[in-house]
Amino acid sequence: MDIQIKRGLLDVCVLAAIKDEDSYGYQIIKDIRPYIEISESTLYPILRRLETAEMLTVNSVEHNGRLRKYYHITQSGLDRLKAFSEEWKEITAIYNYVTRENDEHE
Amino acid sequence: MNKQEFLNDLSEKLQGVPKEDREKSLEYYSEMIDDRIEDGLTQEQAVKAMGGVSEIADRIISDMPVEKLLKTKVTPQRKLSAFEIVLLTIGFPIWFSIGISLIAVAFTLYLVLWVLILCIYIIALSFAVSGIAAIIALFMSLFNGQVLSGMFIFGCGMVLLGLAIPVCMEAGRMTFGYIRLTGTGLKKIKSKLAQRKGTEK
Repeated sequence: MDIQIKRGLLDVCVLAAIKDEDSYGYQIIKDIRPYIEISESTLYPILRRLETAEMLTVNSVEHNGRLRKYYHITQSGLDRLKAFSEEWKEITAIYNYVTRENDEHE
Repeated sequence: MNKQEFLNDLSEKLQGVPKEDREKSLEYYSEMIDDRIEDGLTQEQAVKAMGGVSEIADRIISDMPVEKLLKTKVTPQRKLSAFEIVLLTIGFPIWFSIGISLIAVAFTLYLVLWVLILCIYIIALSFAVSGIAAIIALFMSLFNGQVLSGMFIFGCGMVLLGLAIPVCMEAGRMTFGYIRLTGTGLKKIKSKLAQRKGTEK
């Protein structure tokens, strides 16, 4: 996938992974992986960026005698997801326009 | 490599990163490895799944603002001994002036190259101006009845005007090249700052 497009999508995917309930790093990776390629080293800067942008907050929770960081989505994170689905309508329209001719030939 | 070795290695490579950010990264990778082990991987496999330490460190450093890197660079991470402080203070006039001169020389060299590029622009400009002057000279010569010399001057002027275009384009290419070079240079300096130990000499 185009690297610019992927970068934007990854942010949204991470937010979507914590939308319904708080989640932790490894779980986020497992949830997203079927849809988009992501690794530990890609996820880290995204989490930091979203934290700085106040789209998510971080809580440390004890788990098996160690701390695990849970990520919680904020209102502006939810707003970002909402904005994304609006943007996507435009993208779908563009997609339909771009692929229009191919369909006619089939 | 086991988990502890991985974390030590990463910590070593992140020496130049502020302590707080370094600890956050280490916590993150420690948690990731533990979660993978819980998921059934062995420690070795879990560490391997993280990827190369150098790439991870590069990634963290390149995402860090330069101001943050500079700050750790300037604040010593260990306490200086009294002897070192005395030495630094006595030696100040020497190391400070040498350091400043080195920076100044490097900066001057950098500027000189910019001036060279500027010269090429000026040459192109002078060609263009001469060309325009030649057109005016042609009319003045025609007015004075010196048709031949007017034509000659006009011809020379046209050649110069023609030359101005490729020279100007070349100068433009050099400008872009140099800007790109400045960019990669700055990036190199940034990673140098982060990779060296945070103690000031």
